[in-house]
Amino acid sequence: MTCPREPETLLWLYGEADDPSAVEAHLVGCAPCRAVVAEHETVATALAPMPVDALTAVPTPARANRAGPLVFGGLLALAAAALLVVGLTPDPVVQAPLDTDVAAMPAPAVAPDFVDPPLFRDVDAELEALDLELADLSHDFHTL
Amino acid sequence: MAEEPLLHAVHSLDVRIQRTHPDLVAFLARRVGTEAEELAQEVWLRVHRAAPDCEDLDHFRAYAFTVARRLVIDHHRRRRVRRVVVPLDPTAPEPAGDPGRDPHGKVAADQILVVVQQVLGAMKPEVAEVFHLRTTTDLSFKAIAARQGCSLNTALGRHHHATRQLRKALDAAGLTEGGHP
Repeated sequence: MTCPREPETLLWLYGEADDPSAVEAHLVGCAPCRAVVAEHETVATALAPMPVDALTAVPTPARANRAGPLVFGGLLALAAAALLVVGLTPDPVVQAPLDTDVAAMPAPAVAPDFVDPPLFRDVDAELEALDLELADLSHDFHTL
Repeated sequence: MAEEPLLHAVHSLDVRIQRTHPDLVAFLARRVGTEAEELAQEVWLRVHRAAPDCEDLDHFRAYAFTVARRLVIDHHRRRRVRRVVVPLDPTAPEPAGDPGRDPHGKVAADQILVVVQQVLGAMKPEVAEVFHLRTTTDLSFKAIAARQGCSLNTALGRHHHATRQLRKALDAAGLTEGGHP
């Protein structure tokens, strides 16, 4: 269970809260936020002996890539179009598999009213679910 | 007469502090060693200032330990900064938990580093970057968000996600309190 005030709790935890006393008052009655604090402290304590300067830099990610939901929508539209093509074909010959190589697809433009996803949505789980859906769709095409 | 409820509240808070203090010090000692008592005093100072409205001792304990955890994180961060800024004096006594010249501590530190590098390497770069920056620099989450071109909430979410993944890996490697290899 998550709390909508978890971002404030995290900011408080790392000394960046605008109103620490408000967060502390919240923590009195919020077990999920206290659990978040406990989790972060456990990791911070475990990492305390680690030589931080030995932690090598991670690869710089591509910037301003906010196309997640639009890619998803684009893929669904593509899948729907492929279904239409298969449906219209008189001889249901096995079609060439959908190009599900997302990386090869051109990134759509970011909509100006794009809204950031909720804080703790599991992006990995969503992508996994998307892969499974596409795999199912692809399977359906081949069995038509 | 009007002072009675206030005196009662203060007395109640002091009683709760007295009852919680030994466990709090033991908790802190496992994390910060010899500085546990000093940190405990800081916890109580903050608790006094906040005067939390806890319905019973259990809630009070949970709150006090949460404040303590925040101070532990701050303690570790300050120690890291001190290690980088102040060169180690070879004749000075070892601080608590410093793996510098303790061979077992060095092995544990290297194990932790390996696990962290593996976990960060397997993450999406933008997620790993937030954790890396927060751990190795003094950048605020706001500054990290600006650097990544994302919202503050997204940067916080990425850091939280990275922390959860690290927790699982460190638990599995037996490198956290209560974790089993």
